[in-house]
Amino acid sequence: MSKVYKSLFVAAMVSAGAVSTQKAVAQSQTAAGSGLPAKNMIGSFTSVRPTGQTGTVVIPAETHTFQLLAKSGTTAYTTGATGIMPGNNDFTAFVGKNGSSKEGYLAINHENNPGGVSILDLHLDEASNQWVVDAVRKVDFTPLVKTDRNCSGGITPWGTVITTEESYNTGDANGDGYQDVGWQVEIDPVSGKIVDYDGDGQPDKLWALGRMNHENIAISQDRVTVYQAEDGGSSGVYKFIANQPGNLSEGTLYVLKRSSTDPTTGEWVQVPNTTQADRNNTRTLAPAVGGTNWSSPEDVEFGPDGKMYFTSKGTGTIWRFKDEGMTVSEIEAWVTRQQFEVNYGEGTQLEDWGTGIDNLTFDGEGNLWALQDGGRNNLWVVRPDHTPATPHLDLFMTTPRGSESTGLTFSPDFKYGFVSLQHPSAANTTVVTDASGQDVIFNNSATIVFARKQFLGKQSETTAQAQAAAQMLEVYPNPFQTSTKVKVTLPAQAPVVLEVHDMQGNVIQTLFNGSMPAGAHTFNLSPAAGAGNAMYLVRLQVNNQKATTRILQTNK
Amino acid sequence: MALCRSLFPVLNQKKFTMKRFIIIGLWIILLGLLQQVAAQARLLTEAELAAASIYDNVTEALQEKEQVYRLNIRQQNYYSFTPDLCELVNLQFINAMKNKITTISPEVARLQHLQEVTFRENELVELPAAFYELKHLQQIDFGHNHFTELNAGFGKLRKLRVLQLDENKIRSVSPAVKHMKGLHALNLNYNHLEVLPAEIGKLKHLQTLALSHNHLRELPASMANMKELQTLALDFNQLTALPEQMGKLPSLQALLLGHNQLRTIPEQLTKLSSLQLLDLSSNQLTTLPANLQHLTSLRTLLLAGNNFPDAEKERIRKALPQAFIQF
Repeated sequence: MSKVYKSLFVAAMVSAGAVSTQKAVAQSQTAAGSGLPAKNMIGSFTSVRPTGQTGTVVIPAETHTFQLLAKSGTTAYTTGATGIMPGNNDFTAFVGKNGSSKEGYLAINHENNPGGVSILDLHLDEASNQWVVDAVRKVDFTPLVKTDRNCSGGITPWGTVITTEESYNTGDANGDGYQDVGWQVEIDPVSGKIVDYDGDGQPDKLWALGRMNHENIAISQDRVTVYQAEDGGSSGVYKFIANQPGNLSEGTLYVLKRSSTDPTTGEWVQVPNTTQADRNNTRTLAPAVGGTNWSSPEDVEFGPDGKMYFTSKGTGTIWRFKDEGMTVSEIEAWVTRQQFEVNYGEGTQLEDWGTGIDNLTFDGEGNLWALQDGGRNNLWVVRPDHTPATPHLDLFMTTPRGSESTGLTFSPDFKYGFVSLQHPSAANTTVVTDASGQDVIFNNSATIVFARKQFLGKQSETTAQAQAAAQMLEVYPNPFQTSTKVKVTLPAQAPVVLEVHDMQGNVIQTLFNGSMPAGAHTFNLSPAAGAGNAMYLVRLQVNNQKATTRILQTNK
Repeated sequence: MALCRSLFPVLNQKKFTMKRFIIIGLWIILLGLLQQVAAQARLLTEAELAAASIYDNVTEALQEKEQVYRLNIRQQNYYSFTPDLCELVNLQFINAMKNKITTISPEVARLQHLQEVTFRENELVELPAAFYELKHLQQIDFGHNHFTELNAGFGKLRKLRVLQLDENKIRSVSPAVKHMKGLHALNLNYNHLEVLPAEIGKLKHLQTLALSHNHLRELPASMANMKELQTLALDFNQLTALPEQMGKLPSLQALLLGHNQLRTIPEQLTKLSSLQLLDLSSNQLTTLPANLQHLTSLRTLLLAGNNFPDAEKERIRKALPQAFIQF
């Protein structure tokens, strides 16, 4: 690896949120480049079948597993605040203590109004291979009125977290001359405090980066160069050069203008950002000075090839370009909307890339993980050898009904991925057992950690089996009034036990017990109606694989 | 009936008449109202409200009605803001953005403590009259819906500070807008406005007025009365001229007029002593006012997409040596 390539790789990893310090970079380079067998790499997997959304998270069950870390409406704040973690989990930022991949802080955005950020203090218990949450803290934004719709963000090389406000609402409640929302906000994950740049005892938002519908932020290892994009509004791609390394409170702002004569090239045009009036109106100034509209760009990330990558949500295109300083070259639509062939082991299937590619993150092998808000809300992985002419993509995750996956970042050693499942349907009832042995229903926003099975949990085999079984079981309608149908689909003949339990664990009906042929089998279920609503558990055992689904009988 | 007789002995009397029955009925209604008022706790202070739990599970919220001050049903596939949600009478904050809500139940009148509501990205076309009786409302976000007018009812909301109605289909603003005396920010970006009522000038405390991406052809001179106005966004309209009175906005810091049809700028605009940012890009200008040097606060002047002769460009540069100017 050449020196130049190494520096670019470092920048890419920092931007991707994978690492936050030089030390961590060194670790990750060792891990990524030491010739470890593919079976140890997080990006090594066989695609899941492209089914669209189901009642739960589906990831490659043979190789990977997950553990629930936090769930909205359930996880409670433990330190410095009371109450329950709010909903709409989004960006996750893992910042390791001294570059550690086993102990650190996980900042979780909440894309609400008011928005918010929760911070988990957590560590990996190496005896059990499970993550332990030691504390749950809440960042207090009231000194700045509030934050609104904290969407994605970034991790700085100096170990802070930047949370981005995807909002352009008007209002200056504290009369400080700056509009209240629509900014980047830097947080120290250790103290949980917003950074105070001018030292006046009052925290500040990153005013000089401009006000817009921010999506994310990518900070270079040089500590001065920053990229960001606006989802909607100007739909611009921006670059910022800080006046001082490690201090993003002042600097020069540019917007990318694509050449009308040679669309593979462009230039950076300065956007005024010195006065409050300038900063409050960045969204208007950028197109006025010639900024190109990229149709709702979302994440911008450093690529391991030294190029910048960004996604255009409106068209479903992942663009990349080479930044030459004041100009750019090699602008290219790297992934475009089309049907991609997904090989899921047992066969292949065409899957529409669709639109709505939202969050991007590179892992240590150069895989680009692309999280989709739209289409079938898939979590894709674009392989390093992908080209527009010879596509190479895999499907890592299908998501729970009603949800999108958001804000993926990796631990510095790329063994662990942290990701949120935002706004899954409250009607989801599928129960799966995670790597820590707890039953998980994705019926509210949640943040999970995933890894190859050898790095997470001792119950991983059980988890994989439960996932496989969960895919065989379907109950509809649910909720129901008088009767419902239980459908079991087997890939091959197998011994099956299918039972319905009440919430006290009593078997109220055995629907099947014996050897079941391959194919789909449907059973009618009509429990005696009680006075009120009644909850039941449908339990399926196929060989040694078990799955449970919760169903609700209503009285009206 | 036995219970009724024990509560109201009059029912046992032979002289019971229909008139008395009506009086009793009225008492029952009054008792019901008192019970409703009693269920409403006092308004929480800002700090207390910030510390209050945000309920995002309606089933749980309805089981703990009296404890529910903040409700978040963002992106939960609601098609209507239903009467049962209006049983949460202590609500001061609702976030219902990104649903498919087409109607708000008239029972919303029960939510007399509401201070802030967000119904952004829904399918609303109109509001029930009862909504305009929510006297404590301070912030409303109805952005990205299907409203076609800024209804006169908003004029009843005297405490309203922020009103977001961007990304709708609004063609008219009611003159009753003048009654929103407390309004600080009005966002009407991305609508279908062609004219504004003169009464908009009565919004004396307005600091931000966003009217970008409409079809405005002219502006009322009364806008000069908005003495606290700091930001006026009028880019992407059809303006051919500006009222001279616009020079009387002493607090104006940002004036965005890009992408209009302006051919001249009134000399009086050079009296905007607080103006820091002036966007005049993509108009049909060939000259600017003579006394540009009076704009001593101006730091950013955007002029690209016009037809300035070189001599005029040079004059502008010399008049504003402290400003970033883009031709």
